[in-house]
Amino acid sequence: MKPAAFVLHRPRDLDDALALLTQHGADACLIAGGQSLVPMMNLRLATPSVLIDLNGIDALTGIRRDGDVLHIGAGTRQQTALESDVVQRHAPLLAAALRHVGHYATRCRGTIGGSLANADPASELVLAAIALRAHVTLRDAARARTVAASEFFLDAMTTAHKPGEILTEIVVPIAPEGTKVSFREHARRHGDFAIAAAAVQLSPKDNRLSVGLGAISTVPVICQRIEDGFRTGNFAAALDGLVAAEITGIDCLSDLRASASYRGKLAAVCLTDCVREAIR
Amino acid sequence: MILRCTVNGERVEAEVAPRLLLVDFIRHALKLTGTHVGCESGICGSCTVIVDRAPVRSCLMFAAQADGSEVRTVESLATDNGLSPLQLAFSRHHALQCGFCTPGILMTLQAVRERNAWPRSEQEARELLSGNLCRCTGYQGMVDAILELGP
Repeated sequence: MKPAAFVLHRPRDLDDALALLTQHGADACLIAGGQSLVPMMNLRLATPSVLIDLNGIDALTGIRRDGDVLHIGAGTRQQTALESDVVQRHAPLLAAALRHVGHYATRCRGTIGGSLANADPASELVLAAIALRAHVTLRDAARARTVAASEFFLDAMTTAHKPGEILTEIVVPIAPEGTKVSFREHARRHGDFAIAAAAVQLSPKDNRLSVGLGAISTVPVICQRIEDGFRTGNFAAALDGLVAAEITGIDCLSDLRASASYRGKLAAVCLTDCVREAIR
Repeated sequence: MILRCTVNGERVEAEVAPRLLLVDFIRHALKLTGTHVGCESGICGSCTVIVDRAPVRSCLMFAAQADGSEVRTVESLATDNGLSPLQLAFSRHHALQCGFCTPGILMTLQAVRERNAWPRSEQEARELLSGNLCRCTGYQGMVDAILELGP
């Protein structure tokens, strides 16, 4: 239950971190909050020989509005983002999702970027990023690139992150005035991994419903049928059918917490309640 | 690596291996055994200490990462004048039994109090406590202690 030996680097700026990453290649592992990585290291399921600690890099933290998007630094602590007036006002769905991430103490250490890069199927932040059509910025020693959430999360614990890159920020579209959101999840107890989770944002200004469903498949999905159905008449009456159609199309996970069949049924309830709450 | 930090207000300087967990440094090197080690995987919360105003699982942090930080453990709560208000409230409400989880819970609550995020309802108190496992009390005494002290 103790981690294997490794060499620790604590760079003070991003260029130094990128240089270290280039130098050590596949031997190196990035650490931010460490709330997922260190348990894996303590159990020796992860045995990196070089650890590059991003905690000392101030450029990776901070929340700023730029026109119609919000830039949240990857190193921003989850609790800091949750308590941010800017996030609560301009990205209320993200704030709602953050309330369900781990526990107070793990949110005080865990980072926004770390959770996204880890890409756990049950991650609330991954679900919110996909539902909100957010982007992530990745930098290597030569350049920066921006990737849509829908193209970044490829599979369970697998992203489009390339060797030599550091995820530096998430870019979230500003919620229009009057936006209503709902985030619901079912877990065995508060703070535990979700068995099913849903994220819904209603923007009355452009009459648009954004709907994501997470924790039931390897990557959270956009519920396109429900989003499209919202624009047609008689949505409330059609909702149950739309939800059923969404669930049928998903290959549900089966694990210790819930079978695929149970997950699908639970997800249907969770999704329906979440949509109803947002459009109420 | 050289670690320089303060622990409970006292300056500490030590040579540490990168893989040394903060909790093991606190217990084995500094002999501050009030901080307990439970699961070593971030689930139980027994090892929670305060690092730079934040409650932190000291089993999920390497000692070397505390370089330059201010660390506080459960030993910092009581003073020459006796137990802290939080400790007294726990005592009054029988919020502990075997005591194994108590240091982690006290340090989490101490940090939350200092960060002005104290629970305002029973539900908020239970949500906050969900980050720490207690197998004795059923949490009711802790909830009562929290509500008595708040907001």
